Amino acid sequence: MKKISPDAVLIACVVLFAVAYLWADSLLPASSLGDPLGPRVFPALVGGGLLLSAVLMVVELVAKSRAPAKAPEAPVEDDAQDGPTSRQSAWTLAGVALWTAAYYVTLERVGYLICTLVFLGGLLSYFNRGRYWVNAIVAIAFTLIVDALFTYALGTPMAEGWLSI
Amino acid sequence: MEGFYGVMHGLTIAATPTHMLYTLIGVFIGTMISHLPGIGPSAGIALLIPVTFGMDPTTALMMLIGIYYGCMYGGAVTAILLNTPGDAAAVMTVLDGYPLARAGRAAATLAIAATSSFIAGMIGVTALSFIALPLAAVALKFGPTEYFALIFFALSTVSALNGESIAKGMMAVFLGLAIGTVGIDLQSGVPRFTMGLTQLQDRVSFLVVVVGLFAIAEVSRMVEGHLGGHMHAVKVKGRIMFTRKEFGLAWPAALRGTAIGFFCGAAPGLGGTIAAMLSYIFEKKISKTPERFGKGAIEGVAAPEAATNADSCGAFVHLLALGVPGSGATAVIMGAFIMYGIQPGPMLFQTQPDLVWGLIASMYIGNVMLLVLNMPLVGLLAKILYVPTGVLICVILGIASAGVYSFHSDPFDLYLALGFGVLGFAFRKLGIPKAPLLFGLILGHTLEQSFRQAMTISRGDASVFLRSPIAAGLLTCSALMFAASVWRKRRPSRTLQEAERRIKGEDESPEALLTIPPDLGADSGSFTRPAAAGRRP
Repeated sequence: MKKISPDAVLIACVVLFAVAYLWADSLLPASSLGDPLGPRVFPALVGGGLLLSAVLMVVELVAKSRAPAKAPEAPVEDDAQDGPTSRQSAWTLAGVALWTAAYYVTLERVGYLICTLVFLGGLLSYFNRGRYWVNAIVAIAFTLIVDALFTYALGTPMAEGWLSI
Repeated sequence: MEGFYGVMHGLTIAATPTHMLYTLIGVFIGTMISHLPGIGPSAGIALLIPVTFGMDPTTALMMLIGIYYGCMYGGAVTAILLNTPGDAAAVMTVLDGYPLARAGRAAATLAIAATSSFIAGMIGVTALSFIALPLAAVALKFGPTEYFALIFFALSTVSALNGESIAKGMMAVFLGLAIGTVGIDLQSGVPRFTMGLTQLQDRVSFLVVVVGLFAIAEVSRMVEGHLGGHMHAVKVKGRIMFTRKEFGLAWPAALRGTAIGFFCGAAPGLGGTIAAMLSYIFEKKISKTPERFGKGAIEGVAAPEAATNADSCGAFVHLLALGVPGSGATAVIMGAFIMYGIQPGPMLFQTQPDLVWGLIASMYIGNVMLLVLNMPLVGLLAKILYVPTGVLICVILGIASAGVYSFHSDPFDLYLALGFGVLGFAFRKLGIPKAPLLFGLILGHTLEQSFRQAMTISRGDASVFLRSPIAAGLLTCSALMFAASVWRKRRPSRTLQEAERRIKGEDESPEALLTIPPDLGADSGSFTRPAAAGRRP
C-alpha cells in the first residue's frame, strides 16, 4: 500500500480546520453599529487565507513530485532516527504527554506540592535512571523552591489541594 | 542629538542598583539558557515571563531583554565546545569555532566570540538609539491604512522568508491570525469562536501559546535527543585571551559582521541565522585565503558572532519604533510588553520615554556585563553543559507548568499549553516554522483593528489601501517579497547552498552531527543536534 505523505495529511487538516472556522464564522451575528465590516469579515478573510495556503501547498506538492529525482540528501533532524530509536522516542513522547496530562488534571485536586513531587519523581526516575539520591533531591528542592517563589515572592499561591485540610 | 540625550537620560534610569541587578540577572540567565541545547531565547523568555509578573514593567523588561541578548552571546559557547549551536543563530560559528577548539585554541576562540559580540552589541545599540527615534517620528504620521499595510508587510516577510515552504509559512501566519480572533470582539462585543468557554472570552493567552509552542514542544526535541548518542565536549584550558594576530584578523570581520547583522535585524523576518550566514559567506568571499574557512579561520567566528548580536539590536528598531517584531524572540518580548499594558510603537517614545530610553541604555550596561561575565567565567559557565538532559527535561516541564498555572490559577491554561506543545511538536515534524504563527497571533489584533478602522473611515471602500502612497508602497513591497521568495525557492543562492553543504559536510567527522534546522530565519529558536543530542559523557 502506498504511504500517505505527511504533507497530504497536513493539507487535509488545514482544509478541515479552515472549513470549520468559516462555518463557525458564518454563525456569528453580522450586525454592527458604524462598523461597515462587523465581526465576521476579518475571520472570513483569515479562513480564506488558510484555504489559499492549502492550495499553495498542493501546488508545491505537485511541483515537488514532478521535479526530477535528486540524489538522496543527508537525513535531516528527526528523519535520522529511523528504526528502534525512533519507535522508542515515539512511545516515550506519548508516555511523557500522558503523564503530563495526568499531572495537569490532578493538580488542583491533589495540590501543587504532592502532585509536582510525584510528577517530577516519575519523570526523573525514567530519564535519569539509577541516580536515586540526585533525583530525590532535585524533585524535592525544585518543588519547594518553585512553590515558595510563586506563593511568597510573587504572591500567586499554587493549588493547596489535600494539604489545605 | 535627541538620541544622545535620550541615551544619557536612559543611563540615569538603567544605572540604578535595582535595574542593574535585574539586568545582570537577565544576562546571566540568558547566558545559562544558551548553554543548554534544547532551549532557545524564545522558550527561555517565555518560561521566565511569569516570574516577572509582580515587578515594575521597566525592571521586568530590562531583565527579559537581558535574557535575549544573553542568549545571543552564549550561543557560541556550545557551538565552539560541543559542535552544537546553543541557538539556531550560532549555526555558522560551529564551522570554524569547533575546529579551532579542537586545535587547542578553545579559550582564544571563546574570547574572540565574546569580544566580537561585545563590539557588535555596542555598535548595534548605538545605531538603535539614533535610528529608532527618527523612524518613530515618521511612523507617527501613519494612520490605520498605513498601519494595516505595515503589519501586512511584516507578516508577508515572515511567512515568505521562514522555513523551506512559502505555503507552510503562510499557513502558520493565518493559523496565528485565526487564534488571535478567538475571544470577545472589542468593537461589537460579540464572542467569537469561544465554544461557550468563558476562559476563551478574554482571548487565548499569549503566554500559554508561547510556553506550549516553544518550551513544551522543545521538551519533545530533548526527549528524542536524550535517547541518542554522546556529546564530545572540548575542555577549556588556559587563559581566556587571544593573541594580537588573532585580534587583528577578528576586529575588521566583526565590524563587517555588525553592519550585515544590523541591517538583517532591521528587516523584519530575516533573523539572526540568515545574518550569521550572510556575514560568514561575505567573509569567505573577500578573504585572500578562503580555503582556511571551515578549518579554523578566526574571521569565521568573529563575523557571524558579531552579525548575530547586531541583528538582535536591529530587531529592536522596528519593535520599539513601529511596534512590529523582527524575530520569534522579539515577538515574545513584544507579547511581554503587551502583557504589561504597554503597546510598543511610535507613541512609546512620547508616552514612555523613561521606559524606552531606560531599556536602550540597559543594553549598553548589559553588553559590558556580558563581556565581564563571559571572559573570565566562561570555563565555569561551561560546566552547565554537563547537567544531565534527563534533569533538564523535568526542570523545563516543571517551570513551564508552574508559570502557566500561576497566570490565572486555572488548569484550563495548562491543558491549552499542552495542546500547543503537541502543535509545536507537529510543526517541527512537518517542517512548519513557528515564528509566523507567533507573529500572526501578536499582530492579528492590531491588523484587524487597523483594517476595520480604515474601512470605517473610507465607508467600506477598499481602494483606500491603494490611495495612500505609503500603504500602496508597502503592499507592493509585500507582493514583491512574495514573488522574490518564490524565485528564491526555485533558484536558491549558490552561496547559501554552499554554506548548507559545508555544514552538512561536517558529518564526515565522527563527532560532528550537525544539521540545519528547518526553520532558519526569524525563528531564532533552539537548536539540538539530531540523533546524538542529550546524553552527557
